[in-house]
Amino acid sequence: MDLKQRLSLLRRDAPRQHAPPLSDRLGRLGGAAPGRPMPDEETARLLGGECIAGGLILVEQMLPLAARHGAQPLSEVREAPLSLLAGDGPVDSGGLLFLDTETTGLAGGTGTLPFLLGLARIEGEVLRLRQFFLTGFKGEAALLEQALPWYRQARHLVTFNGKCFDLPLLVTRYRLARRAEPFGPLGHIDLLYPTRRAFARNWPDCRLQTAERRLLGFVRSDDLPGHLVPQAWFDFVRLGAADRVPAILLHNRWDLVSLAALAAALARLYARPEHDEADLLAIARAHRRNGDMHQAYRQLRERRQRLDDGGLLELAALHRRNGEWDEAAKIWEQLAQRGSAEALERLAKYQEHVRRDYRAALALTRLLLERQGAKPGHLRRQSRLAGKLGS
Amino acid sequence: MTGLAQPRDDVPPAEAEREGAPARDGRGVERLIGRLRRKYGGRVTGELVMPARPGDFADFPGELDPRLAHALRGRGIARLYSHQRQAWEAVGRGRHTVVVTPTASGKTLCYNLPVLQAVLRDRAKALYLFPTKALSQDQVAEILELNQAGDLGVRAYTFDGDTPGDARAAVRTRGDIVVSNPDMLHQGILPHHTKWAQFFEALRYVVIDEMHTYRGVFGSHMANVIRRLRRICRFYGSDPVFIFCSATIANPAELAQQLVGELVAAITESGAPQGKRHLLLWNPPVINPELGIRASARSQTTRLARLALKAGLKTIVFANSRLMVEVLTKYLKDVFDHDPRRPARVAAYRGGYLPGERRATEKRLRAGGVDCVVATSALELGVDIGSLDVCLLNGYPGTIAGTWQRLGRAGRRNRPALGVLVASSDPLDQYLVRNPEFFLGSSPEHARIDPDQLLILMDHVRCAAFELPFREAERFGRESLGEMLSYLEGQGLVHLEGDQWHWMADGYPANTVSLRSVAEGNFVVVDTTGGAKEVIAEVDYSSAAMTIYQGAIYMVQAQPWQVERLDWEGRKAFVTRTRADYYTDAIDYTKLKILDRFEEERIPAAACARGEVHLVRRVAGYKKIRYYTHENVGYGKIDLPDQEMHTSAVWWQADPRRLAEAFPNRWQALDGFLGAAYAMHFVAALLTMSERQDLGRAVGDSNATWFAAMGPDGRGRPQTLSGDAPDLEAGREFVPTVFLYDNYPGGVGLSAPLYDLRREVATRAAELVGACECSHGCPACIGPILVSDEQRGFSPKAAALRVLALFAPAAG
Repeated sequence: MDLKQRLSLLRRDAPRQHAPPLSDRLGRLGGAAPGRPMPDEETARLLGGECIAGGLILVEQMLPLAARHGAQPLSEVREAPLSLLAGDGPVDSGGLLFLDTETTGLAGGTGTLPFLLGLARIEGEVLRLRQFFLTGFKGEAALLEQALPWYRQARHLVTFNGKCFDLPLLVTRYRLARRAEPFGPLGHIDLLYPTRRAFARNWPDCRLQTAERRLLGFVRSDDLPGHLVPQAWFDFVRLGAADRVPAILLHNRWDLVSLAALAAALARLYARPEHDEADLLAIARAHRRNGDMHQAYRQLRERRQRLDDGGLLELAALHRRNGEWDEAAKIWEQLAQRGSAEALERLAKYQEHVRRDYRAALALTRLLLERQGAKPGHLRRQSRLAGKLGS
Repeated sequence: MTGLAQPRDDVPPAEAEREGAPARDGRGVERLIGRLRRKYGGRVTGELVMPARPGDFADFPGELDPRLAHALRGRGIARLYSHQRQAWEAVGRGRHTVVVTPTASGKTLCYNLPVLQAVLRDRAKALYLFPTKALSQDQVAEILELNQAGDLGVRAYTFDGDTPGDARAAVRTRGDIVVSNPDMLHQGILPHHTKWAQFFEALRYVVIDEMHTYRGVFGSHMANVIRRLRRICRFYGSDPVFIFCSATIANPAELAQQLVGELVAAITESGAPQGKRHLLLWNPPVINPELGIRASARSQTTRLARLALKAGLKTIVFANSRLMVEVLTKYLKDVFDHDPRRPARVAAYRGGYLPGERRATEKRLRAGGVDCVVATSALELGVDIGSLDVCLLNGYPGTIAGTWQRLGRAGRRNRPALGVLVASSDPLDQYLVRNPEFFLGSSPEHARIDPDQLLILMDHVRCAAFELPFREAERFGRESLGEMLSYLEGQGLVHLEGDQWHWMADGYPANTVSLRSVAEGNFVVVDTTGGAKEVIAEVDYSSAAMTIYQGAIYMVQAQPWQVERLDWEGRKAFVTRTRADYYTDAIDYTKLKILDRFEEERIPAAACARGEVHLVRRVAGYKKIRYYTHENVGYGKIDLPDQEMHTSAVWWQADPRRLAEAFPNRWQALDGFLGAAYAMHFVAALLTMSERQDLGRAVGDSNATWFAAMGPDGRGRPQTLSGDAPDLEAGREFVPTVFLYDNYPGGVGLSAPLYDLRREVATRAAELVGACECSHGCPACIGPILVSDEQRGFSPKAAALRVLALFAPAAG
């Protein structure tokens, strides 16, 4: 009995957990005529690139910055205040390296191969794209090597979810190839985080293509959905089925151009949060965390009418920081009338410590006790104020 | 009146004081033994006294790092036990080593010393693997104490599912000793080995404690995880030395060698001193000689525990099922914990309790706050619970090794200890207490694994291919790697390019492979009393069908809950508090179908064969059993999906003509087969030196049209899987079959040795039944007989002997 027979015998009625998860895909594959791998030169011709090493094809393209991506002018990326997104000092647009990979799976780990590495950078008036495509496994060493000069010349990587996905994968590949990973000296702007911060409250999800539609006004047509990408590459490698390979490269190219456009759009948004769906408070807090109090203050003050209670409290806190007590008190009063307990407490503190109007402070504290019950902090304040009034 | 002033009815305070005090110097144990001998001499069928043994010591090795020597002295250790020194020597020569030692013999120093030395001298790294998370945490605490005593600056961290994400990078890069478990290594570390590059490059030692737990399917998986680990180490240029620690088993060196795939040095003599130990084999008195019925083990165990507690002795009671733990706990709590204002003296400890609750009980045990703990084998492992005086085993644990391991729980710190094995009516138990020389002279069981079991091996070939591409010349296990990889290529999982096989699929194979054979996920038990929703326990997949069916009484710390609804898909059981005066016990049936015959032997009257079988198990209903009287107060139906398994088996069938000659009708023959199977099952477990639950037993038709079990009336009942009763006499074919099967999916290699012993199984079973003193059959030979001989009109014992005579003509 050969191994296959033995296994099928063992598996015949074995519990379902042994069923191969790929069975349905295999079923589809089974119908296809057995193909032969396509020669590299032919693949290169198909993709409009050149074969630069065994198993590795380089496709280069230039895109004028004068172009728009959806409604977003690409040229804006050169002047955009990208440091608002990076939070670690000045960012020079010439040192940006946009990076996106296509992989054999989303699970991560050593068995996941990035078979397409897309890089893009700004060179004068153009966005220069460089896509390294593997036609199998043997070209990987050359890919890792060929990408090095671009990493060396860059200052900041720009990705979408690259911190958790693309970068750990690439680091893994360098380790597997027994090479030092080249990313140590590079800064990294992962656009997923500023996108999520600004829009998580109002968008159904924060995927790149959602941002393209809602922020850039760009809609892909005939895009190869990301979840079909691995199988398209497997079919190409195993059966020489190249029909969907150009679509993989196009998908990756759109990702790269979207990175440049999104960086510009997000930087502008963080400088002037005009987008209807943007969360003003979250953006202001991000500025605060980066130590840019002024930016936070200015943005909230200028858009005071659009703020919800959380935003107003944040603005009041910034007023207080600047010593603008009257402004702060006005907001707290407005909120207290609407029933905000936090505003009441702020007001009580303000009356006690700034105005030293103990009577008003005590009245506010009693209101709080009524509203929130006997919290220890309120009780302490009440007895302290009663003492101050008594003496 | 305060709770303390209240006189207690079980122990008058004065007596408790008088008897409790001397217990601390060991005379309490001697006094209890004297009393048991005087009052119950007839129940003690065997006795063994192991005299106190002085320690065998050795000096610190000369090359021991002075900082380490200083740390040891700081912990009050001035010399080593001889086995610790031997381990040091063997490991120092770079040999894989297994150390077999009893509980509390300082086994952890056997590996901590060489590991710490290597960390201090060379900044080498070590990986410790424990079968459970709880043990990992104990271990790290212990290293840290030594670390502190000597100011060694060694960094030991646990890495498991509870390790927070932001701490993981620090563990990977900074840990000198990483303490984890096989599942984490398999799913979390190996598939991400590049993140651990620094660790693997410097990995010098791999420590595998509680090695005896790696048997059966779990052990077979573990051997493959180790193959993968060593493969990754080779990639990073390291070749770590493996240090194993094990409780006593028959074949520690063999098991270690199978696990690591190379020769292993074995150290089996402990140099630790030991207090005097008494062991009594205890058979409950016969209360119905006609039916051969004895008093229950449960009643005897409860009585012994009460005597021990009243004598002020700290006691552990081991039961063989979670249900029995709860029942015994209830009975003991009814005696000792009826006043809720006092801290509880009796605690239960078993798998399925939430981790926090188990940790709290362990802590109370160490602090001496509990006088009696009732536990399952969950406490067999090296969980530190401090010193105990008496260990009671409610029923034979099923293995000699497990018995000694549980008995080892009593008598740690050089004090005399008492162990009592209370026999149940189970034939294995009865055989042992009636033949004490067999038990006392037997070697413990073999731990068997089959690392090349095809399904398991293939699982790990997939995982290994994901971790690193396979080269064509590589080997992995005994099967042909090329053939296995070609098979995976056919499944679209790997791809051959040049001379390398690459993983080429979207997925993460380790997540689809569970090392513990139950891949289906735990059930949680949710208390919905009064609209609440609180998780009170977890139940593993394999026992869910038997314990949390709708209508079941589920107990935690002897408190009963009733299962209102079981959500099988959602893996949840919803329960509410109840005051039921009964508990429930499930009834299950097993049906087998023969798929393939590997080998067969025909003798004139019968045939015995080995092959592949397909098995369906159905949990059909349950009995309600009243507390204390243990009468049956009702039945319920259970509607759950069948569990299916594919495995290998050995089966016996009689020649139809000879069978027809031997019995006046088919019903009697069926009773004979059931009785014969009962006896053969336990003889087979003894002969193959495996645990009884490793082998399953079934009686059915060879075409799986019907199967048989003992009905509630005590008569053999054939049934089809749809629940109909077939007409035995009507069918032309009547080929009843005794199946003994390997009780693991795919099998772990038990059927081949069983087939080799086929003649002995039948012969010894015939001897056992023939020599039994009962008149018509009893739980000690052919199983419980409920209907007396007169009503039945024939002797089931004689029927079983007739069947066995067909299987083993020489013995007839």
